[in-house]
Amino acid sequence: MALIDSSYTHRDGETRGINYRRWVIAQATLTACLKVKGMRWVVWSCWIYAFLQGIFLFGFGQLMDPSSTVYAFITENLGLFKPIAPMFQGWAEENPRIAIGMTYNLFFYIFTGAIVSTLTLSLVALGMAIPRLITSDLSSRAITIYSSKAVSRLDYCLGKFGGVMLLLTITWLGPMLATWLMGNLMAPKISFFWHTAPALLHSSMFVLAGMIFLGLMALGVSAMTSSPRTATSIWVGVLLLGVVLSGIGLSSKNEWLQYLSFWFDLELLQRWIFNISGDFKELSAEYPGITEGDIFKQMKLRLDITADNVAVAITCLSLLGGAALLTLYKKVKPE
Amino acid sequence: MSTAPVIQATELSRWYGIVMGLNNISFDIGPGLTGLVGPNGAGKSTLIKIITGQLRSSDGELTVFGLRPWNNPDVLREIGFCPEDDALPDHLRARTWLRGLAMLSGIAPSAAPEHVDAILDRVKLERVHWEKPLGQFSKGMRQRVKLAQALLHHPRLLVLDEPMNGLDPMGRQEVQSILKQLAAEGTAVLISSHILHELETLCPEILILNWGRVIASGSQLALQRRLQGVEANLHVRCSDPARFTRVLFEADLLLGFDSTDTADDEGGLNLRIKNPNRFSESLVDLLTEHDIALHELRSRDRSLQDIFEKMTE
Repeated sequence: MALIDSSYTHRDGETRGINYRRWVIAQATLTACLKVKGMRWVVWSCWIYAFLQGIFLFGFGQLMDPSSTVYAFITENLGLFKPIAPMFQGWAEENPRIAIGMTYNLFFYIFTGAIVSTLTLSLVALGMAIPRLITSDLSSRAITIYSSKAVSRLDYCLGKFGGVMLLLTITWLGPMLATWLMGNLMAPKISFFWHTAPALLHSSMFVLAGMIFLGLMALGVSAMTSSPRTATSIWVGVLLLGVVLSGIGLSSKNEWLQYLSFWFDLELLQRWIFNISGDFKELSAEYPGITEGDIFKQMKLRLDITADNVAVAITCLSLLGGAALLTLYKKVKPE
Repeated sequence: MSTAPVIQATELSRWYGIVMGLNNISFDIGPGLTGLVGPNGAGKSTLIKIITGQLRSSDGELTVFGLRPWNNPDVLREIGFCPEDDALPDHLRARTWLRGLAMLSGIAPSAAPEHVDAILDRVKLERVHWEKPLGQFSKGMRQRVKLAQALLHHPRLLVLDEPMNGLDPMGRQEVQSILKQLAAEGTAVLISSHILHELETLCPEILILNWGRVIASGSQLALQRRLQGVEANLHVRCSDPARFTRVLFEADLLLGFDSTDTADDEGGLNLRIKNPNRFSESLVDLLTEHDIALHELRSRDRSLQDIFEKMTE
């Protein structure tokens, strides 16, 4: 029979539960990451980038409202935009789903996964944070002490994962939400929110899926070694390998090679979530002339995606995530 | 105080591939101070890792307070562990790190600072060092921080692996006094150390391991008595040392001797007795029969070192 009296606490005062302890690990992980030299610059860059996008979207929203100061300023001072603004406003009145919803969807599609985006900055942030995630606990052997406390290996990993999620929330999800909010600030009509909501939903879905995948990858890489430099090098190597595989696969038309690149898989996932090709179909149905150009045709061809493509991409991402989890399971222990 | 075993091992084994870390061992460890002794490779670290839930046994069972410690936070919150490794994150300040660990042990953020300060005072780490990064600490200061983290949640079982390493004599005394106080307060303390004379004075109970097996366990006194069943080292002073040794040889009781007959130790002899029990029974008769006066008789088998050496021979 167990001899432990579960009410026994050895001291006066409450003892908090396991979720609190996981939160403590997450918080400590985030604090440690933010203390890395240069990390605050990266975080600031993410928010400045989001702010600039927000200003653009705010201006776009104001174009829909003839009574707004921005609208008046553009039509009165920017000669080039003088005819465009009323035309755009009329289009938004006539077909807001395309004029507002589709524009937002395309905008967020481009800016949540572009080369210059908060995704790239988040990858930089993760690269800087990796030595402070699990590597430092392995190199200092503090993991021996953590694992002797009343937290299981799973709790420790969940706490660390929470810390990475918090970091990515600051660098990726948060700025994306802020961009959307800024774009909707002082919207001319409440319906503006409804038309931009799908873009928010798609962005949130993609960013959350990306956060989970990248968070797992970062933890897996961090657990691979007790040397901070090696951990960072592995992370850079993983990112470059993704680019190289994707590039070779594209040039040699070898699709399977492309699937081995998580960049390519994430891009497919993004295309599927945002469904830009669907938007283009809708656009060509409504305005047949617009999508007849070569650029649109090429884009449509590139953005077309089948359910099989997505299934393979998700499987590949899951396998990579599984490999990261296996690394965590094997490496996160005191010896 | 309860005398129920705190740690109980039953046919416990642990393999590392084909290497046997622990080989089918069974023992009980009760409350109070217990020393864990054994040469390098004896299985001490393996046993400590199993007790502190960091390693799973390959076979058999080990329970702490009646429960298996592996991956069991309910047991781990009753255990404080001070590892031998220098397991501190150098970039953090002592107080900050301990505050985090206090919260990790479930202490509320508002209560953690006060709690940490009290523990740091208890391990006698000077206040001027509290806000310094751990990387700047000396070996002795790091030992104190390691001890502090083990005490943070007021564990009922404290497991210490070489806790005196790096401490100066005064520091060792201070740590010993803390451990004695904890034991008096009801905490079970298991100490692994290779400094046997420290364990000798500190731990009434001893567990000796060698080659992954328990060679002996129990109180130092009981072990001493057990050894005496085989042979004993005695010091005697008597009226006729030469005659006394001859008598003992004739009675088939003596394995060896050397004379310590000096001005300070008149009639002194160090004896290696073959069968201590028979020696005790026949001593009075032999002395009376041969008219030898015995001035002094004492055992030389007192140190834990002697017990350890004999047990691991």
